[in-house]
Amino acid sequence: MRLKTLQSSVARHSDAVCAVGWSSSDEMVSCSDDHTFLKWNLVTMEATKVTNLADTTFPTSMSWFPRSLTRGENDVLALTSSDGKLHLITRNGKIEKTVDAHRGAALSAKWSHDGTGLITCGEDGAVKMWSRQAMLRSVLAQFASPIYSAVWDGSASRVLYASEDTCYIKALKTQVSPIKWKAHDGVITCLDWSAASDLIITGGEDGKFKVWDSFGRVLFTSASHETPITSLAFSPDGSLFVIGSFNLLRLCDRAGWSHSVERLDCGSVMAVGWSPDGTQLVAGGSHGHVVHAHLIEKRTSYRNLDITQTKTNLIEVRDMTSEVAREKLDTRDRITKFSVAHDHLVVLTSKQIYIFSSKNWNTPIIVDLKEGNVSLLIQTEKLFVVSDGGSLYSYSYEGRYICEIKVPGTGGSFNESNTALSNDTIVVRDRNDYTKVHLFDPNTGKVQGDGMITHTSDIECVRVSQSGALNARVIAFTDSSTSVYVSLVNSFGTTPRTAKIGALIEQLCFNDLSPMLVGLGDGKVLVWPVPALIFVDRELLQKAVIEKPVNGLGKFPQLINFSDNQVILRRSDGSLVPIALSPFPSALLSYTDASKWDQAIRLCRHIQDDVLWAVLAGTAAQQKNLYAAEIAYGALDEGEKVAFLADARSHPNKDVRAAMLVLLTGKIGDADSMLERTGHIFRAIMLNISTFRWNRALEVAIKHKTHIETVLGYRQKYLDQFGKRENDQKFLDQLSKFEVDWEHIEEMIAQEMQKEQ
Amino acid sequence: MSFRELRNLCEMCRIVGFPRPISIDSFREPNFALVAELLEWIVLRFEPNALISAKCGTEQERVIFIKSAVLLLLQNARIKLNPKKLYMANGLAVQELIAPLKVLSLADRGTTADAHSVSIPVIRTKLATKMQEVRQCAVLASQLPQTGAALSNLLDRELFFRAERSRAVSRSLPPSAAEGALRNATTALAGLAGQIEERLNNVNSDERSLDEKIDRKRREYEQLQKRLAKLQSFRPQYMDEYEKYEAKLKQLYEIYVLKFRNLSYLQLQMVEMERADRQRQAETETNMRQVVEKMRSETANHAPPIDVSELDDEPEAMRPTGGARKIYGNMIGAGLSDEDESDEEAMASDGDEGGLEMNIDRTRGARSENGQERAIGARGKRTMQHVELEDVDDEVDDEVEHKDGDSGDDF
Amino acid sequence: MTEPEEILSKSGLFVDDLNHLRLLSTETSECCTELSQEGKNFEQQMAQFKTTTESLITTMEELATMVETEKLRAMTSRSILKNIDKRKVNETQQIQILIREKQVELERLRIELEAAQKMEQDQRDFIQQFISN
Repeated sequence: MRLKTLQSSVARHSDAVCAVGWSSSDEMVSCSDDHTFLKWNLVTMEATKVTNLADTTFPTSMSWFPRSLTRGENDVLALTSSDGKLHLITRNGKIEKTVDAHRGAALSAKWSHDGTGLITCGEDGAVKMWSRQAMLRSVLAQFASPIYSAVWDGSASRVLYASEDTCYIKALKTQVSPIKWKAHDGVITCLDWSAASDLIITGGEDGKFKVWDSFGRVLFTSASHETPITSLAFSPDGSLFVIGSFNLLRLCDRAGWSHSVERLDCGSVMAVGWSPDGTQLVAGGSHGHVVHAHLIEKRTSYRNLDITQTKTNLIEVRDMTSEVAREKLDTRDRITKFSVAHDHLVVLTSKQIYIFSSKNWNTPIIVDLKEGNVSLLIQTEKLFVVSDGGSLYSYSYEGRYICEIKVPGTGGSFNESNTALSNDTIVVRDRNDYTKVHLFDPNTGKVQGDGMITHTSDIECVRVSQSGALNARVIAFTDSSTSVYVSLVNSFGTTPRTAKIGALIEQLCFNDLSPMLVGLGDGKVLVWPVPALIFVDRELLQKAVIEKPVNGLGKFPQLINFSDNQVILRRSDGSLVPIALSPFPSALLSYTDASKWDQAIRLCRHIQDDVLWAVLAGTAAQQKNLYAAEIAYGALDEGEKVAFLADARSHPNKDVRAAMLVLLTGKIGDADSMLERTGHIFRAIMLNISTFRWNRALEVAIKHKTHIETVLGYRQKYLDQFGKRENDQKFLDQLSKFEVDWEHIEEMIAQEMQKEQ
Repeated sequence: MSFRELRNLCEMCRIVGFPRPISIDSFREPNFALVAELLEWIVLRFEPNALISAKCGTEQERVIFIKSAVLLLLQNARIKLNPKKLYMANGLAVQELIAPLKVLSLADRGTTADAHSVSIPVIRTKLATKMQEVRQCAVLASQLPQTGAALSNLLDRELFFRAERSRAVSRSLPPSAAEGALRNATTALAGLAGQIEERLNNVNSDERSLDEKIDRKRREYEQLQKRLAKLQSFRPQYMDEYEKYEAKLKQLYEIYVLKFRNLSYLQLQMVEMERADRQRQAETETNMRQVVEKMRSETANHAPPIDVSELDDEPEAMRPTGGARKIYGNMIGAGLSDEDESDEEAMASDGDEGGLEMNIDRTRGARSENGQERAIGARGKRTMQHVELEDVDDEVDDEVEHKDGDSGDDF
Repeated sequence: MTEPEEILSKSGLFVDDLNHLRLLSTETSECCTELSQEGKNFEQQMAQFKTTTESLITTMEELATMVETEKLRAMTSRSILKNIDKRKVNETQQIQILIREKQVELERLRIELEAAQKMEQDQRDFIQQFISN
C-alpha cells in the first residue's frame, strides 16, 4: 500500500498551511497563515476561497465536528489560532463563535469522538475542556511549558496530552492522578489516539514516532528521521496512520512499520487529515502547499487470487495458478473499500457497490449505496454487511438489500474487531458498554438467539463461527485481560452462557469453512479445532488444542486470515507469514460433520494423535455417537469414561442415557436435575453421592422420602475414611431418625438396580 | 514573541539547511549561544568572507559580535536588524533573525521565475526614456527656487500692497468728490501745460540766437581755411639754399662715417696691441723674476727681495691715479677735454699713438659745428663716440628717411 | 510725481497708462498681477515637477523591486552553487532512506518467502510421510 500524492505546482496559499481537514469525503479545506480559508476540488486540485479570516488570526489547528453524528448538516469546525482564540466556524466559513481560550497561542483543538466536548491546549501550558457550544467546562491540566497537542480516546472518557517529553493520560470520570511516562528524547510535537484501535502515536522533535497502547506501553519506536515529526494522524479505521515531517509523508501500519514514504516539496508537513472514509488524506506544508494523497496499491489475497487496487478506480485481479489470468476491473467512482471472500469480491465506491463473482469477472452486479460513507465491510458466505458507523446494512450477493440492523445506543463505531458476521448471526459489541455483545439476524434485522451476552469485563475482539447450523454457532471473544471465551448463540437456558477456553490470546479468527478457531497471543498460535467442546467435555478441550509457537512475531502481530489449513499472520515488522496447520483436524471434522464415524476413527487410528482423538471423542459425544466416543476415549486412556460410556450406551432408558451424556460434559447439576425430573431418583441420589454433593443427595432423598438411609450410610463411610465426625446439623438430625444398616442399604440398591434393568 | 515565529524560525532553519536541528522551545529562555550561532551562520551565508566568530566569552565580545554581524548584514543584504533585540536573545531576537532567514529561505526555495529576466530590457528602455524626464526635472528643480524667490519677494511686498488694496477698496469715494479731484487735477495739469508752452517759446528764441552764432563761426573758419591754403602754396627763398646745404651735409656725413669706421678699427687695433704689450711685459717680468730667483738662489742672499716688489708696484701705482683723475674729470662736466687728457695720458703712458689723435680731433670739430646749428636742447653728457653717432642718426631721421637704413648698415 | 497726480493720489485716485481712472496706483496693480501670474506659474511648475518626480519614483520603485528579485535570484544561484554538495548529501540521505525502506520491505518479503518455503517443505514432508505410510 502506498500513497499517491497530488500537489499543485504553485502553492495556493502564500504562507504555511497549518490547519487542514475534510468537510466531506470529496472536499477538503485548508487554512493558512495568509488568513485564507480555501476548499479544494479533488479532481483538478483547484481551490476556491470560502472566506478570509481576520488579519490577526493565524490558524494552528482545525478539528471537524465528528461527522457520524451530524449526518452531513450542521457541520462545524473548531479552529485555534495563534492569538489564543478558539473559533467555531461553519463549513461556509461563517464564524459562529470566538472565545479567548489561551494566553499566547492556542495550539490544538480536538472534538471528542461523541461530539460532546472539545479540548484545547495552548502555549500557556493549559489543557482545557469545552462544551459543544464552546463554554469552558474545566481546566484539565496546567503546565509551565507549552502543550502542543491533546487528544481524546475513543470513548471520550480519557484525554491524552504531552508536556515537553512526557505524555499524560487523564481519566475524566475518576479522580485519579494521570498516567504519565517519558515518551521522547525531545519535545513531543504531536500525538493521536485512535478511537478504533485504541492505540496512541506520538511524534517528537527527536525525529521519531512511537506507537503506544492505551496504558503507555511502547509497541513500536521508529528510527530517527533527520527532522522533527510535525504532524501525524490515525486513519478513521485505526489500521493506518500517517506522519509528516520535513518534506516527507510516511504511511504506516498501526503496528508501526511503514507502508511507504513519499518525498514532497512542501517544507514541513504542518498538518495532516484523513478523509472520513479513510482512503484519502490532505497535508498542509509550510510553504503554502496543500497536498492531496490517496491510498493505492491496497492489496489482499484470497486463495489463489491476488487483488490489488492500482488506481483510484481500478482493481487488478490476478490468478496465481495461471500466468495469463489477469483481470482489470474499473469502477465509475473512487473505490473506498474492497473485500474478497467466499468467491465474491465486493468493491465499494463512493456511491455504489460492485459485486464480482470469481467465476465471472466481467459482469458485476452494481447497487447504489445508501450511505456514502462506509466504514466497515464484512463478508460471509451468503451475504455481506456494510456499515456507515451508525447502522449496519446487509446485502445479498445478488445485490439485494436485505435489511438494516439497528444497534441500540449511539456513538462508537463498528470495526472489524468489534463486529462479526456469519450467515445467520451478526455479533456486535455494545456501543457504550463494552461488556456486552448483541446478536442479530442479518436476514431479518431482528434479535437472534439469546440476543445479548454479558461479560464481566470489557470485550475486545468478537468472532463468530462460519460453518454449521445455527445451533452449532459459536461466538468467541477476548476480553481486556486477554482471555478467550466462547459462547453459543442460543444456549437454550443452560446455565453457563460463556466458558473460558484460554488465556493470553489477543486475536481470534474462525476458519471460513470449519468451526476451527485460531487464537494469537504470547508468541504462539493456538488452534481449537472445535471450541464448542467446552460445552461437551471441559477436560477434553484442553487436549483438543494445537499449539504452534511462532518465532519473531514481535510485539504486535496481527491475525489476518484463517482459511483451509493455513493461518496468515502479519508480524510486527509487517511481513505476512503463512502458517500451515495439519490437515487432519479439518479432515476429521469433515468426516464427523458428515457422520462418517468409521472413516473418522480410521483416520485417527492412522495418525495416532491425542488431539485428533480428543476432537473425535468430543464431537462424537456431542453428536451422541457413543460408540465412536467410547473408542476415542479409550484411545485417550480415559478408562472410567470408557466404562461410563459403555454403561451409558448399554443403558436401556433413553432419559438416563441423555443424563449420562450431560454428566459427561461435567454439568453435574444439569444431569442431576435431569434425572430427578425424569423420575430416576435413585440415580440422582447416587450421582450426588458419587460426586460428594452430600447436601444435595440428602435433599433429594428427603424430598422423595427414599434412600435417606443410603445417603447417611455413604456419608458415614466417607467420614470414617477421613477419621472425622459428623458435624452437619442436617445429617445429625437424620441420623437421629434413621439407623444405618448396610445390609438393608445394599438390599435397597440391588432392588433399584433390578428395577432399572 | 509568538509561537508562530518560533515555529517559522525552526522551519526556515530546516529549509536553509542550518546544520543543527533547532527545537521549538529553544528561545523560551534567552539563549545567546544559539542566537550567536545562527547569526554567524546567516552572515556567512550572505558574505562568505566575513570575519566573524560566534565564540563570545565576555560581554564585550558579545556586543562586538552582534554589532559587527548587524553591520555586515546591513552592508551585504540591506537588512536592518535591531542589535538590542538580538542581544536579548529571546523571542524578540527570533523576530529579528527571521528577517534574514526569510530572504535565505526564499532564495533556497528558488521561487524566482524567469519572467523577471524578460522584463529587464523593458525596464531598461523605460529607464532610458525616463532620463529625459530626469533632465526636465533637474531644470524644473533649478527653476523652482528662482520662481520661489521671486514669489517670496512679491509676497513680502504683498503685505504692503494688500494694505493698499484694502485701503482702496475700503475707502468710499463719492463720484462728486472724485470728479472734483479730477477737475482740480485737470486745472493743475492745464496750468502745467501753460508753463511748458511758455518754456517752449523761450527755447525757440535761444535756438535762433545759437544758429546765428554758429553761422558766424563757420564763416571765420572758412576764411582761416583759405589763408592756410595760400600759405601752404608759398615757397620761401631760403629753400634752395637749404636744399643745397642738405646735400652738402650728406656728403660730409658719409665722409664722417668712413672716418669714424677707420678710427674705431684703429682703436680696436690699439687696444689689442696694448694688451699684447702688457702680456709680453708680464711674461718678461715673470721670466725676469724667475731669472732673478735663479740668480738669487745661485748667488745666495746677493740681492734683496725689495727690488722685485718695487718693480711690481710701479704700474699699479700709476693706474689708480689715472682712474681717480678720470672720475674727477667726469664730475666737473664738459668732459671732452678731460677725455682728451685721459687719452693723452693714456697715449703718453702707451706711447706711440700720434696718427690717430689727429683723426679724432677732426671729427670732433665737425660734430661741434653741427650740434650748435641744430640746437636741440641739452642731450646730456655722452662718453666717447657712440653719443655722436646717435646724434647723427637723429639728424638723418629727421632729414631723409631713406638714409636711415644705410647708416644702420654702417654699424 | 507730478502735481496733478499728487492731487489725485491724495484723494486716492490714480490714472494709468491708458488714461483710465484707477483706485490703485499702477505700481501696486502691476505688482499684484505679477504676483498672481508668478503664483500661477509657480503652481504649474510645481505640479509638473510633482508628476515628473512621481513617475520617476514609480519607475525607480519598479527598478528597486526588480533589483530586489534579481538579488534574490543571484543569491539563489549562489546558494544553489554553494549548496550543491549539501544537496547531494541530502539527496543521498533521502535515497538512503528510501533504500532502507526498500530493504525493510525486502526483509519482509524474504521472511514471507522463508515462511512460504518452510510451509512448502512441511507439506512435502507430510506428503512423503503420508505416502510412505
